[in-house]
Amino acid sequence: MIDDIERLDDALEGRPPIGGFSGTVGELVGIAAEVARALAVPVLTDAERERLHHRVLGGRTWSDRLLHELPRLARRPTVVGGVGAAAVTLAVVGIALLRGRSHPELGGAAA
Amino acid sequence: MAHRSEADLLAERDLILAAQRDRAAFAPLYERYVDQIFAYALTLTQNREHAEDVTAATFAKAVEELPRFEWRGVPYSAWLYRVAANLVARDRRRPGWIELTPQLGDDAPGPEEAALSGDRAAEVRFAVAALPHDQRQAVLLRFGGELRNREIAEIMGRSEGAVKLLTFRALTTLRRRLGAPLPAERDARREEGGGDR
Repeated sequence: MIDDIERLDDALEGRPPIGGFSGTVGELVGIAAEVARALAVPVLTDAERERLHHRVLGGRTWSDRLLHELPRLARRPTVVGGVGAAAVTLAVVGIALLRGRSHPELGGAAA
Repeated sequence: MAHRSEADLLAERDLILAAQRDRAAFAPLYERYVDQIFAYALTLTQNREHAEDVTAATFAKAVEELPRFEWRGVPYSAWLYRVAANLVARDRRRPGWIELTPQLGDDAPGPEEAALSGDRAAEVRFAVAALPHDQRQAVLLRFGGELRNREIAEIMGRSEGAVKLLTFRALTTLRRRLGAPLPAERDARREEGGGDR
């Protein structure tokens, strides 16, 4: 068996083994070629490819990323509760800040 | 099986150097390997969502580590595979990890359906996914990642001899599961039979 392991490795590396292939090694080389072809077929769906591209190369702000991730997180009930609470808190703070900017007179009045 | 030529490796080194100068130049490296890393993670985890997370985390770490990355004359993918392998291994150690039955896609046919429909690539991927973890990893890195034994040994924390043995055992199992006909023989049969299976 050790001989076959080395012969297979030689064959896979493109080194012709001394005395040629045994039938078993020849078959294993054929299977290896088939495996290589099968693994070369892309398995990413378009949606997965796009999501990954945005996650890795998107260069977006944390808020953009949160909006993008929400539909995915919604499929994970244990996570979405915590994220939902955080999102609501952030939204309230954001609205308060925007109101402050849009209506400075309110801030002045409050002061 | 094909390995990278010296010229390919040097061209890749230039891509890495460019990305180290300007992170925007990381995109070609990402595009080159994203499919391989996802397929690797998917076949190890058997879960598309999990594979997506592993792939995203692998490339996020790649971007983060880029300034410190040192080119050592091996494919960049060897480094990416090691990160992905560590992420999967970390998850496998967590309590509650369950090795799922191979299911490579929500809409993908099962192994029998793949065989009946003549989708040989899917049939082969199912057979690879059903291998024991170490054999599966050796096959994915060698035939999916086109890495050399010493690079695979380093990623898996095994000896080169162990990698050769794992590859031999994996291919022996795959030959048994997929049937003996070699591609050339099957193609000849298909032509004789007018394509029906």
